[in-house]
Amino acid sequence: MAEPTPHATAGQIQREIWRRKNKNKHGEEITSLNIIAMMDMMTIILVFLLKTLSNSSANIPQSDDLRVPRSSSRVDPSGSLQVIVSRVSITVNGRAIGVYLRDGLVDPSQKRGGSAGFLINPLASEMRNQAEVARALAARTGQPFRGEVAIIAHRDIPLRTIYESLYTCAQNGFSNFQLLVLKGGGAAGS
Amino acid sequence: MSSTFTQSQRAYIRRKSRLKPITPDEEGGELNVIPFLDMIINVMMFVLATITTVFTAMITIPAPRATSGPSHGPEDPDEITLTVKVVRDGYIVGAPGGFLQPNCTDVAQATLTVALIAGNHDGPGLTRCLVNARNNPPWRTQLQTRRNIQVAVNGDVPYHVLITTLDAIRETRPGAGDMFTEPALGILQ
Repeated sequence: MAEPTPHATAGQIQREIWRRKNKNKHGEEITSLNIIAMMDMMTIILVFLLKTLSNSSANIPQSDDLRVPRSSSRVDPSGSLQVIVSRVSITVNGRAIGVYLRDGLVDPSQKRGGSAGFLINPLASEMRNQAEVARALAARTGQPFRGEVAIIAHRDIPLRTIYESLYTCAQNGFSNFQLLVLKGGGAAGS
Repeated sequence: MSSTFTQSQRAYIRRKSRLKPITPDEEGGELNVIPFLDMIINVMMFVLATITTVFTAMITIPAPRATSGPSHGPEDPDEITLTVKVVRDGYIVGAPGGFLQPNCTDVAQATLTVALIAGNHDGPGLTRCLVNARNNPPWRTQLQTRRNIQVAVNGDVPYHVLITTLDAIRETRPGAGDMFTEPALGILQ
């Protein structure tokens, strides 16, 4: 007479449960990716990109009112105060100063000496303020005040307006001019 | 001798080895960052597409004089100075003794030295003219090493013409800087 098969013990039952659980685990498909690291990287890149491009002097907003001419110059611009002469206005560091242009020319009522004058009063006032701030900053940091200003102008602005802007800046302490242009023009420019 | 499981034991084992499904309240234990990542990528692509990063350069110039014509004449009466006057019809190049003629060699009365080409100011033509002037035997000694030049511009000439002119007088080819790199600006009234 065959001996009866002994029943499994509690330990054997637990081992069987454990074995089956592990078998199921190995057979699982990956249902989710841990993308927190990638998200962290993307966020840092985005913040860095926004910060860099917004502060970069190379970021010149091009539009129908501001098309900067091209030049063969290869000298990289240095960060300095920006005076933007578009088709419709003159701004300083992106801030409106109340100088509006008509046909590319400054209203004679805003110039000292009228139509024949070169000094643009609102621009002179703004540049005076900027010079005071720059000098105070230079004094605190021990750096010399260089009086640099970058002129960003629309390509079709009459030179009379450009000269008036340059003259006004020079009369208020900013006499190191940088004409910002787009790289890539030949000798004939564009 | 192997042991076998009874039916009740097999049922017990089956029940205990089944993986528990994640209940909805347990799913919230880990943040679902996929929508956030989707938003980040969209914003980044939008920012890259809309911010026009252009490659800029600069041209340094001194403060211009608000007087007619170019700045003061040379302190040394024997010093040779060239003057480029930018007018609506082209360039007039002043030289010792008069004005350069269209052949850029002879000096005579005022005339248009470099005329417009296709309605535009001829920058390469001005460059060639200045190269000829520099190689002119009477002036070669002084002008070969001269870096300053007078530039007087008509007030109603567009700004891009000034840039073209500065490029033309500065170098014979882009990036060379082998000609007049120190222009002195003035305005013709």
